[in-house]
Amino acid sequence: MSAESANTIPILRVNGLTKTYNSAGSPLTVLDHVSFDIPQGISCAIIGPSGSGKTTLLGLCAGLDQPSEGGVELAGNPLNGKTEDQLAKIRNQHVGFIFQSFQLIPTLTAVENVMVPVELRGGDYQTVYEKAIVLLKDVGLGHRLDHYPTQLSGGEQQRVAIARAFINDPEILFADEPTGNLDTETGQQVESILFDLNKRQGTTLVIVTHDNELAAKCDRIIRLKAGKIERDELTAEATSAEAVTPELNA
Amino acid sequence: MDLFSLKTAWRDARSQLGSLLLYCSGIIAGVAALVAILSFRADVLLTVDEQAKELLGADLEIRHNESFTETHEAIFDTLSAHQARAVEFSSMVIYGDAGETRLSQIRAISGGFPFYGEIKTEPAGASLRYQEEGTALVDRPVMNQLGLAVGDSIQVGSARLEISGKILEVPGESAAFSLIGPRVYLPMSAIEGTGLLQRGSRVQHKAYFAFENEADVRAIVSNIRESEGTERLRFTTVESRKDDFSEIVDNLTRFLGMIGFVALLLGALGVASAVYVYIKRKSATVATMRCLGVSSSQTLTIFSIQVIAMGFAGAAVGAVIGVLVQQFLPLLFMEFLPFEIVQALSWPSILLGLGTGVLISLVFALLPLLSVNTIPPLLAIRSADFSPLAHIRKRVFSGIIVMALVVVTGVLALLIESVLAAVAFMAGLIIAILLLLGVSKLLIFALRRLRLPAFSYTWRQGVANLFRPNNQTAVLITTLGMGMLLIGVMSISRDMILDRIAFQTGDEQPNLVFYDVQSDQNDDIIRLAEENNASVLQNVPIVSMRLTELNGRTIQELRDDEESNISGWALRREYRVTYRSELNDAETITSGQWIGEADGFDSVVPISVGQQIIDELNASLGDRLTFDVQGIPVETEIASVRDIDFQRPEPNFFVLFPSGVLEPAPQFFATVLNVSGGPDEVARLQQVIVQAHPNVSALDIGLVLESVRTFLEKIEMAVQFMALFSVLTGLIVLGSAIAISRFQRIKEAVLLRTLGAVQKQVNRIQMIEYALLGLLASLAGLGLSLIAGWLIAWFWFELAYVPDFVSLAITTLAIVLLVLAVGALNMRRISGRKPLEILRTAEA
Repeated sequence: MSAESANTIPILRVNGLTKTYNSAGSPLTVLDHVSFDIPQGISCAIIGPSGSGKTTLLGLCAGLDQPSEGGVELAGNPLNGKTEDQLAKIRNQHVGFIFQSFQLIPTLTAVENVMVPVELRGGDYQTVYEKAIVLLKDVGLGHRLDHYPTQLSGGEQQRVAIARAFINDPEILFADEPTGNLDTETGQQVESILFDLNKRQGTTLVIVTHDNELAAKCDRIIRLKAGKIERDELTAEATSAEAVTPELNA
Repeated sequence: MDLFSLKTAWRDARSQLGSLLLYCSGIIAGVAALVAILSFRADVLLTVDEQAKELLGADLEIRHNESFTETHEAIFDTLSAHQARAVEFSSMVIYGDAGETRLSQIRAISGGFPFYGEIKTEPAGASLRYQEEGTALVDRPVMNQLGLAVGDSIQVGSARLEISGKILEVPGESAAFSLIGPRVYLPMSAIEGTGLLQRGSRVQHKAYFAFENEADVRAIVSNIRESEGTERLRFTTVESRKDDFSEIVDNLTRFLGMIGFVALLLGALGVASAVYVYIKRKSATVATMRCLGVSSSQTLTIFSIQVIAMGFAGAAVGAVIGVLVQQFLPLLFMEFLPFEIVQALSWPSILLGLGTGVLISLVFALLPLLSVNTIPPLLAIRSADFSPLAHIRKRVFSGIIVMALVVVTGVLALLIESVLAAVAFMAGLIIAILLLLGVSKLLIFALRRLRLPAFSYTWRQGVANLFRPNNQTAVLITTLGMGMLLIGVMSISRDMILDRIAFQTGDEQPNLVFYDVQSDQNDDIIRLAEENNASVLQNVPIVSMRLTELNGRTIQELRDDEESNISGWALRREYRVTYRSELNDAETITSGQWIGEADGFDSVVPISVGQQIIDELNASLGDRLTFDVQGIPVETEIASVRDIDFQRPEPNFFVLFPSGVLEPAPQFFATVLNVSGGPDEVARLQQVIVQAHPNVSALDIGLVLESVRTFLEKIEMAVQFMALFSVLTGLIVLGSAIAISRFQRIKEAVLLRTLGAVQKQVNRIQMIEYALLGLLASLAGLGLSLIAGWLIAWFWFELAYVPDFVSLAITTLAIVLLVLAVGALNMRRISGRKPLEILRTAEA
C-alpha cells in the first residue's frame, strides 16, 4: 500500500530499493525491493521491529549509503551513481537531519552548531548568525546561545539539533528516533517543536521510530518487516486533518 | 593481587591491546634515548679499557717546556724502558709549491713512538719509515683541502721536506685534533734545519717510555718526583690518561643522558595524559564494576596492571630501538673519539633504561590511576560528564606530586651520579615545563579569541577542534615545544659563541696576528704588511720572565709550605709580559690605580695584574712580586688589578708593566693587523711574511672562526640529535593523542559529511587543526628559547642578541610539516568513512 498526493511531485521516490550485506561469507538482504513515493509537505513515520531495515532505509533515502539494487530520487535528484561529494551537496541543499543521540559538535557553541550547514555553503556569517538565533529562540533556547553541548541537557541538545536541521530550509527532514534518548515529557516537547516547524515551514518529515504514539502523530506510517514493507497507511491524524489525499498503489 | 583483578585486567584489555599500547607509547623515544646513551657509554668505557695503552702510545709520558737537562736524562737512563723523544710546537708551514700557509702542530719524533698502536697513514707503513727517510707525515684534511699528494713537499721554518704519508689516524687522538691545526710529523733530526727553536718559542719537550717488564708506573713517577731538579716535569701515565678520558666520556654521556631523560619525562607526561583520558572513558565501566561489588582496591589493581604491563611493553619497544640507535651513535661522535668503538650488547644499560622507563611512566600515571577510586557507582545509571581527577583529595594530590618529584629526581641522581646536579636539573626542567604549559595555555587562550566571524567556517572549526573534550592540546604543545626549546637554545648558544668571536672581525678590526716576531724582524714585517694593504693596529713587545719571590718568600719556600694554597701553576709558569703607558679596550681596572710610567727597575716597579693570577697567587694590592727577567731580578708591586677580556683577538697579558722599565730587555713582538680585501688577501700576506721570516707564526682570525664553527657544529649536532628524541616523543604523543581521539574525530568527520560537507572541507578543517598545533608548539618552544637566548646573551656573553629569524622560521616550518605529516597519516583512516556510520553510531 502506498500513499501519495495526486497533484504533488514526490520529494522522495524510492524504487525497488535493495540492500544486501556480506555477513560471515553469505549474503544478508536487509532491504528487499522496497518502493514508495513521499509527497512534499507530509510527515511520514517508518516503523518496525529491530533489524527490520528502518535505519538502512533512512540511510539510503538520505544518500548516506549506496543501494545494492534499485534507486532513490531525492528532490528531483537521482542519487544513484553520484560521488560522495555530490551527495554531500544534495544533502546540504535539500536535507535536514535529527539523530537519536543529538550529534552536536562538542567544540562549538549552540548557535555555532546551528550555523554549520549554511556555513558549509559559505553563507554570510551575520545573516546565518541572525537566522540561527531566531531558530534557537523558536525552540526555546534563546538564553542558551553560547553554551557548549556538555552544558546543555539532553532535551536542550535535541532542540539545538532541530534548529540545526531547519537552518538550511530543507525540503525534507530525516529524523532517526528523535525522542529515543529523552524522557517522556522532554520527548513530547521535542515532538511538538518538530511538528510545529514542519507545518510552519512545509518541510517533509521522515521519522524512523519505535514509538507508536509518535508514529501516530504523522500523516503516514510505513511499517517494515524483514526488509519489506508490511503496511503503508495514512493515519487517523492525516484523515481528520485532510492534509493529504492518499492514493494507495503498493 | 587477587586472581579476579588479574583476570579482569586481561579480559578488559584483550580487545583493545593496540589502543592500550598507544597510551604508553610516549615513553618509547625516551627509553630509546636512555638505552642508546647508556649502552654507548658502556661501549666507550669498554674500548678504553681494552685500548688503554694506545690512548697514550706509551706506558709513561714526561713533559717539560724546556729541553730536558742532563740530570733529567740521567734519571731517564736508569729506567729499564724503550725511550722516544718528541718536540712539539706550533709553527707556520708552507704547503706545496703554491705556497699556501697554515699554522700547524709540529711534532718532531725520535725513537719508536708510538710504542702501542700506530700512526695510520696512506700509503700504509709510512710512519715506520719517515724518520729514516727524513720525510714528513701530514694530516689528511689539510692535504685534501690544498690538493696535495704524497711526494709533494712542505716547508717548516727553513727546512723543506717531502711528504711521505698522509696521516689517517694517530693513536690516542681524535680527528677533531686537526681542527686546532694540521698535524705534521717530522724526524727529530730535521728540527735543527728548521731554525725554529729560538728563544721565546713555546715548545713542549716530551719523553716517552715503554717498560720492558710489567712496571709499577705510579711508583716510578713518585721516585722521579722525589729527585732534585724535576719540579717542573709533568707526568702522564696510562691510568691517568684513561681516567681523564673516562671523565670526559662520563661528562659527555651524562649531559646527553640528561637530554634523553627530558624526552622520557615528556613521554611520561604524555602517558599520564593518555591514561587519564583512558580512565575517563572507562568511567561507566568502572561504575558498573562498582555496582556489581568490585572493591575500589580491585578496580585500582585492574587498571594498574594494565598500565604497568603496557608501560613495560612501551619501554621494551624503546629499549630495542635504543639498541639499534646505539649502533649509529659512534658515527655522531666519530671525530671526537680517538679509537674505533667496540660495540656490545650492554644488558645493565638495557635493564637500567627499561626499569627507568617503567618506573617513571608508572609514577606519572599514578595520579590518573588513583582517580579511578573517585568514580561513583551512580555513573552506571546516570550518565554525566564526570572528571575523576577533580575529585581526588587535595592532600593526596599534593602528596603524589611531591612523591613523583622525589622519585624522578632520585632516578636522575642515580643515572648521573650527582644529587646536586639532579636537583638543579629537575628544578630547571620543572620551570621550563611550567613555563611551556603556561605559554601553551596563553597561546590557546589567544587562539580561542581568534574564532572571529571574519574567518571562514573551516578555520573556525579547525581552531575549535583544539578544544574538543578530553583534548591534550596543552600537553602536546608542551612536549613538542620542549624539543623545540632544546634545539633552539643549542642553536642560539652556538650562534652567540660565534658572534662573540666574530665581534671583532669587522672592518678596521684585527683579522691577522703575527706572533714570535724577533726584534730584528719587527721593522721588516711592519714594512711588508703596509706594502700589502694591511694596517698595523698594534705592535706589542713581549718579554719573558719567571716569578722568583712573592712578598720576600722564594718560590721553592712557597711550594714547600704545606699550608700555602697558592697554585703551583702560577708560581712555575713562564710569564709573557708587555709594557705600555695606557690600558687597551679589553682591560678594566677593578681595584688600585693604573700607573703607566716608571723610571727603570732600580726602584720597585708598579705593575698591573689580571684578576685570575691574583686569585691563583692568593695575592692582593700592595703585594711584592720579584721576577727574573733574563737573569736580572726586577722587584715589582701590585698597583692595580685588571679584568681582562681574553675573548678578543688582540694579545692580552696577565701581567702588565708600565713604560720605562722593560724597553732594554730582550724581547719579541706580536703584530696585530687589519688586512683589507678579504680572506685571499689575508692568506697572501701570510705567505709573503712566512716566506721571508719562517719562524713567525700567524693567527688567521677568519680560519680560527671557521675551526670554532666546525667544532661547535659537531658538538651541536650531537646535542641536537638527542634533542630530536624530545621532538620524536612529541610526535609519538601526538600520534597517540590523535589515535585516542580517533573515534571522536571520525564521528565529527562523518557528522560534517552528513550535514553536507565535501571531503575537501573536512580535510581542510583537520589540516588547520594540525598546522595550528605545530605552530603553537613551535611558538611556545621558540618563544622560550628566544627568551633564554636573550638571557644568555645578556648575562653570559654581554651581547645584544639578534635572533636568526630565517633559521627559526625554517625550524618552525619543519615542526609544522612533521605535525601535519602525522595528522595526514591519521586522516587517511578517517576520510574513507561513510556518512551512514552516524546512524549506526546513534543506534549503538
